[in-house]
Amino acid sequence: MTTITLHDLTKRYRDVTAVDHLSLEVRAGAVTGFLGPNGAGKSTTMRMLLGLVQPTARTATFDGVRYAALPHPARTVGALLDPGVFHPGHRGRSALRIVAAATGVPDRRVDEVLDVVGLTDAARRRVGGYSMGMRQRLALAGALLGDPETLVLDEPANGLDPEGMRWLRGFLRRLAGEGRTVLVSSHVLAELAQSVDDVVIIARGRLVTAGGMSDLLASHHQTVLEELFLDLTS
Amino acid sequence: MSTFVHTTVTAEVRRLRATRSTTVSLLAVLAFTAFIAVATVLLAGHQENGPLTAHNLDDAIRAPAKVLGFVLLLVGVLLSAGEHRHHTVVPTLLAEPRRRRVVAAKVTAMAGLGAVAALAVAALVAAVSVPMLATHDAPAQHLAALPAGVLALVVTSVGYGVLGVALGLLLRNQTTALVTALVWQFVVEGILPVVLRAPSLPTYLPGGAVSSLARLGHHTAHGALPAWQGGMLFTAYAVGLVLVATVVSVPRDVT
Repeated sequence: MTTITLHDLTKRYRDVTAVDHLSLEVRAGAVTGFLGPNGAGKSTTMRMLLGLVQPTARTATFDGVRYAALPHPARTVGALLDPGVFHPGHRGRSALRIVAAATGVPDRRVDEVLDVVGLTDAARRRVGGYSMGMRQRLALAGALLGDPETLVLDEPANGLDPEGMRWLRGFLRRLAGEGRTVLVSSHVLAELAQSVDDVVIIARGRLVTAGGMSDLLASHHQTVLEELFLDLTS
Repeated sequence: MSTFVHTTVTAEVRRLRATRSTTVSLLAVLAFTAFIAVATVLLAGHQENGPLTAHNLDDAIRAPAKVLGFVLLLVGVLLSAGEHRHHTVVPTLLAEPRRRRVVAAKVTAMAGLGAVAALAVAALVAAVSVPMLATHDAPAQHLAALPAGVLALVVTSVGYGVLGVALGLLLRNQTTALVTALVWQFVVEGILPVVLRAPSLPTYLPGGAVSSLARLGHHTAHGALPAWQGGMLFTAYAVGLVLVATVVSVPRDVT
């Protein structure tokens, strides 16, 4: 049961403040939607959380520990930040075997996660020949390799067909049901609304609101997540 | 240490094996080396080529040092800068966020590949040259000199591979790194000493150090270093560039 905590997290690029004193908590056993308009700072926040981007001030932790200081980072936190993170000349299985070695998980786990995301039949094909949806599934397989307690997913529904989206929805619900922590950003609000328990909305790098989705909808007299989002960010 | 080798280094070795350009370029070097070894024996004594001697095997083993080195430099650049081009740096750093370890793993994997490639080239040259020299009445008698030649080839190959990794880490852009390597080779080491009227300068640059180490070309005209000093100097360049690349690349954001 891992709690993600952002405390006063800030990132500045010269004159631009991408993330501005952002504080929030993401609880275990729930799917938390991380929403914001383009340029709101969602991806930068996720990258700071995962140690890829250095915060200008303060920090983000998993149960009080920075990502880079976790004993087995990729076995504690699985992340999907971009579907295009595999060499196009590598075969699907080979690409995952590289990540599996670096993560310290046995090769048999590669076949397990390929099966979970429905890519077993395409495992011997080169990634360059994959569709956008297949790349997304492969990236998700990479995130699952370490069987992590926590998942951080940036736009995981991008490129998925309706069947894939339905599969993803059920998959995220199942992970949360197992007590895992799931933080997921998406622009597909109607889709996200069917998956999430909690919602965090940011704009211009700042926290706009956070809480249980039904509570937020009720407190803002809205019935649809999209309306709540537009009401708070426009 | 064993965990580091078992995980991060293994991942880099798998990356090298899975990348077709690595395999293809090294096979091309092996083919080129075999061709040169055969051509050297067959063309000896014809036109301006000298006759075969007992030293031909040693010379043939040292001869591919720069060609093999340049290919390994290219592979090293692909191993580090290629990670940014294809965004594979993201899963790499998620799996091992301690970036110095990632640098160490890449250097270790590339050094290993350099050593294996050098030994393979030396073995191939020997396999091709020894029977041919024997049939041309120039059997390789001075085998005592061979270990030094093989060692020179190994040091050169390992050093160039490591330089490639460091250059890729430093510049992050594959094309820029490769262009920089070419500009260095042909402009800085080739033309600049002429412009500066400093003919001895190349001796102390990486390419000159390799020439001294592998006893290549006619560097002696301006005073080559002893082979061991050339080896030490070249190793110092490789280690120095890795240290600089580590200091510069580790704190960078991956966006």
